[in-house]
Amino acid sequence: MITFALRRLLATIPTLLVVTLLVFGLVRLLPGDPARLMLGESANPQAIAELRTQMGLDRPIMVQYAAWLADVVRLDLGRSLVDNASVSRIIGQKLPTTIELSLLSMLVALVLAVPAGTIGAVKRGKPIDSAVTVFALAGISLPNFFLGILLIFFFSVQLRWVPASGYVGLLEDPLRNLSLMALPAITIGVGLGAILTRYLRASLIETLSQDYVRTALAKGVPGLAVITRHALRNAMIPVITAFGLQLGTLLGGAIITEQIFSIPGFGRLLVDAVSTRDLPVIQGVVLIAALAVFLVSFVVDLLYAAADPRITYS
Amino acid sequence: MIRRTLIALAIGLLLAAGMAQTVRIGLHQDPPNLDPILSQAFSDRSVTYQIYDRLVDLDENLTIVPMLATSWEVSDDGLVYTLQIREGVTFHDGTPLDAESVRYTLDRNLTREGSARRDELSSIENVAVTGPHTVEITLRSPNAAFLAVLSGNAGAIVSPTAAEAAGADFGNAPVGSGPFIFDSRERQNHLTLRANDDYWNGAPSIRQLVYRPFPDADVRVANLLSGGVDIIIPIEPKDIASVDAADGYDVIAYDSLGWRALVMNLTRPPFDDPQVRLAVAQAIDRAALAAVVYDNAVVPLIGPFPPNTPGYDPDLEAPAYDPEAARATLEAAGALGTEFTLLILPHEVLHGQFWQAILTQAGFVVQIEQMEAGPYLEVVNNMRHDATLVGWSGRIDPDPQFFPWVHSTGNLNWGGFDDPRIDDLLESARAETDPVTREGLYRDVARLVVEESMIVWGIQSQNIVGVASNLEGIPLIPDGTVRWHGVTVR
Amino acid sequence: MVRTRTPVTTKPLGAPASPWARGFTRFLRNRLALTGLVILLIFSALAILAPVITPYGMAEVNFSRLRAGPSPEHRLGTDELGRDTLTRVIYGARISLTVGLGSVVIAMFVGSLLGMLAGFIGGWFDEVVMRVMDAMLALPFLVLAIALAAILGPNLQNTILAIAIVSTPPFARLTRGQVLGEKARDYVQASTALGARGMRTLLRHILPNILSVIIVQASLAMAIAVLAESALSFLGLGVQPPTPSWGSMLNTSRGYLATQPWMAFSPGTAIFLVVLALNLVGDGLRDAFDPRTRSG
Repeated sequence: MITFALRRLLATIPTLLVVTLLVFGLVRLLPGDPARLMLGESANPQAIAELRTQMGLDRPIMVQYAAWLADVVRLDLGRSLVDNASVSRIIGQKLPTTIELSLLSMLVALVLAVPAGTIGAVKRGKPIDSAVTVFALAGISLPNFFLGILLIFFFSVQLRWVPASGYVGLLEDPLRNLSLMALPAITIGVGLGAILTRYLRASLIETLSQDYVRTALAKGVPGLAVITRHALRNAMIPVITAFGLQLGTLLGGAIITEQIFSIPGFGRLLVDAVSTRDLPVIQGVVLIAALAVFLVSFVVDLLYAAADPRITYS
Repeated sequence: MIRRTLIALAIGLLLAAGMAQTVRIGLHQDPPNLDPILSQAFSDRSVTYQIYDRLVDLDENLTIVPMLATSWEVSDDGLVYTLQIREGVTFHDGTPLDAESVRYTLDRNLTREGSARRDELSSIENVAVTGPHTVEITLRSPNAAFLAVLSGNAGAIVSPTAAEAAGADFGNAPVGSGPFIFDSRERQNHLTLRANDDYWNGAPSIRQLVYRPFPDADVRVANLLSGGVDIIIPIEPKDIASVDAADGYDVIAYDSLGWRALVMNLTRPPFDDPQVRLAVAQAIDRAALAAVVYDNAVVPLIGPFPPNTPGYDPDLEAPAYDPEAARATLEAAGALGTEFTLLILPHEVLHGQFWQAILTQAGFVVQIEQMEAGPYLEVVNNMRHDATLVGWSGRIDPDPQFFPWVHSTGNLNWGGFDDPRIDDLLESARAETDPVTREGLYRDVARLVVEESMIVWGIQSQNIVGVASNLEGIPLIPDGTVRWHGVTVR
Repeated sequence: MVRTRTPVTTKPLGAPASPWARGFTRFLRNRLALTGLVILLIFSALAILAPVITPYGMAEVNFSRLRAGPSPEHRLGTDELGRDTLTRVIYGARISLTVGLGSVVIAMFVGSLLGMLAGFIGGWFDEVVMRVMDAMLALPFLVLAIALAAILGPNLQNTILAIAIVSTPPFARLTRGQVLGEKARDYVQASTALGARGMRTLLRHILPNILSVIIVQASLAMAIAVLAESALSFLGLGVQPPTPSWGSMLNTSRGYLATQPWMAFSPGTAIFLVVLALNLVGDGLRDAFDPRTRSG
């Protein structure tokens, strides 16, 4: 198992290096001289030249890359051009909010997907299955920014149940935090839930057709018990994988949703950094997003291997 | 059971009392920099004016009133300002404030790398400490606007000890002598100040100020109306009606010193041609502009000096609105179908589209380009734009109000002005000590610029804030920055 | 992805022998997919005929009818400059479909070519191309699209380009996998043994076999591309005013949700319908042409 984990980890390193190269190159293509942007409008050319030297912008590009990579490995992502704050620290501040939002969204997704996927699979071919299929497809097709707006319209503007937007830290005021996070979590959770419903339904259909389930049913074990105790558990394995693969979807959803609901998270950070051309922050955010995807797919792989005896570690 | 309820009630009351002492302020942006020498944004001043005292302040009638300077004398030639500095004032870090702190601050303003205050204070030749609480400032040439400049960030006195210790990071650890003390901040989330109980003018009644950035106007309003914040600065005109109608909230609108205008690049086609500019001036329907973009919360303005400021000229005339004439003018100039790019900041999209629509009717082909402040400044400072929409917060004196925009050396000369007539008039106005003659000179400049449509003004801006009705005593100072010291929560 | 036992449909008498024709028949029998196709055709027709059928000009303002509700003159109301919303929704279809089609065609062409070459040539070329593709896949779709759109600058061509770049890796991966699979088969080995030139073998034998997989991926990618376009313009990184885009219309409407909510409904519904239609068609195509990934 450990060998498998190590081998899997080693295999990702070349790709990871390419990712860093892409992220580094990406931001270098942005228009505007970073030194000039940093010093502002009234800076004189000499000061700009000095800063360029100081920032190493006058060195060959590969040297700059190597230096940057060395810093990154030490978790030093540079400093924001806007306020000179450490990028790692800024990201560290924003990340918990987005992680909370992501976890809540996953919860919403599971609450939607488990019953819907199960019903669809069990009542396969029946009208209710068609309904599940159509709703799942609708959920995938509904843009989260439209859904967010609809939710604000109905629950904040019309019914006045929850505030339209805003953010309070979870530790500051847990209740208010959760009431503010409800609509954003639903905004992301619906689309994610729709994707999971499709996975779960398909996976459950396969499990239900397997011999041991048939046997259990034939022996007279009540259907619901079979489903919850045996089939669902097995069917969840590919669903967990799907979850891992949807991390990108989740992060994309967070960008839009944090924008609509004014949540100071990771996604807002990216949009703000893009608009102020804050290169080190853009670089840091994109890199951390990629690392998160790597990490999650790695963990999912391990879980998958651990959960499914058919997978060998060789 | 009853006891538990009582306890809950007591806790509730305590919480309510705690809440009442905190005022939460929704701003349109996260204040970029709290170091007075680096600050360039309007939103900064909402905060810096609480943390730092300035040498002088403004009142609601735009009169200059004492703050850290208790009195001042100006020599007859207008060159030497002698300021008496308030005694018994200490900075938040315990450093006593004296004449030396003032000298240090002004010196820092003038010499520190990247200082945005250097232009405003460029007339200073020397600052001398002549007593423990007396400062003598000598100017190179008379400057009638000098005291007005000291009412802004240029006159904000910083703690020398703290400034030296923090170096370039002072904006993240600001220390002044003002009624509120910097407490903590998390970018894009909150910025918290706490009351300075030792304030020389008495401890403020508000215990805590919490600033929260809401770049999105809708989010800002939603947070006000849902109780997330107690005041939002500013409120978009389209939201006035909904805030006004809400129970427990008021809209306060008062004249500002600022304006919105179209600044054209005079150094290259198409706007180097006066006829093309005339067409623009004839095409602008200011009444429609006020209605469409500002929901009639603002009034039209044709020149650089709004009616509440010196330099205002009731007889000033701009080309009359006449869409057919605009088209004819453009055609006569052989410029029908002229293409240009209108550069705007992202929050000006509706404003930009309004100009795009009316100029399209006049026969222009207009592209809109949106840019955030950073890249925007890089473009306009290097004159790489065709035309841009400008919002100016305004200054009380005609010199800082207008000189930066139209003098060939002005730091906001985004039109590319290089006109000896204008430069001469502005320079003689600077040196003029007779207020009436001086005002006349500024009127002459304004007339020149308006006659040749070098800048086309649209409207006078308003300070519009949405506020919870239980906040009392907010001073309506036209510079648009709320001084929180005297405000109370009912 | 998931293999399920689908009941074997009995072929009708005289069913065409070619897999294409069989797939086509299957597709036509899928009612949901057909609904999607019809919706798509309607929107395409609207987009193509926009100048002819719209009652007003795309950027025609009317300052005396700001943010008006639906009326006989303006069936979907007007916007904040008094422009006709129906007209702008119809023109918005042009942007959405142009970006969707344009970016996917580019991604399909480039991605498939890279994937095919990587699979066929193998060696270092394969290694380099696929590493880059893997790295791009590791970057979340929208994160990368936003970064690219910001770098390239906001306009129609760059939106297409940014989305095309981001959509490329799945095509490359898919075709490479297919090529490797087909390469192992007898007929390709036979033809290479006979000395047929590499490229021709590739095209003549492999392309037809993997085309159906590419087309299925293309239809699903287009749904994602249309969503991405509206997301970018929602964030102000897409086409610039006065050109209408559903995303930017939706963004503007947020400001008037309390007083003029209908401003949000038209563009939002339009995006939803087009993306739904593309997903329906994509699912239908997959079920019809790609039995290996049929989801039941």
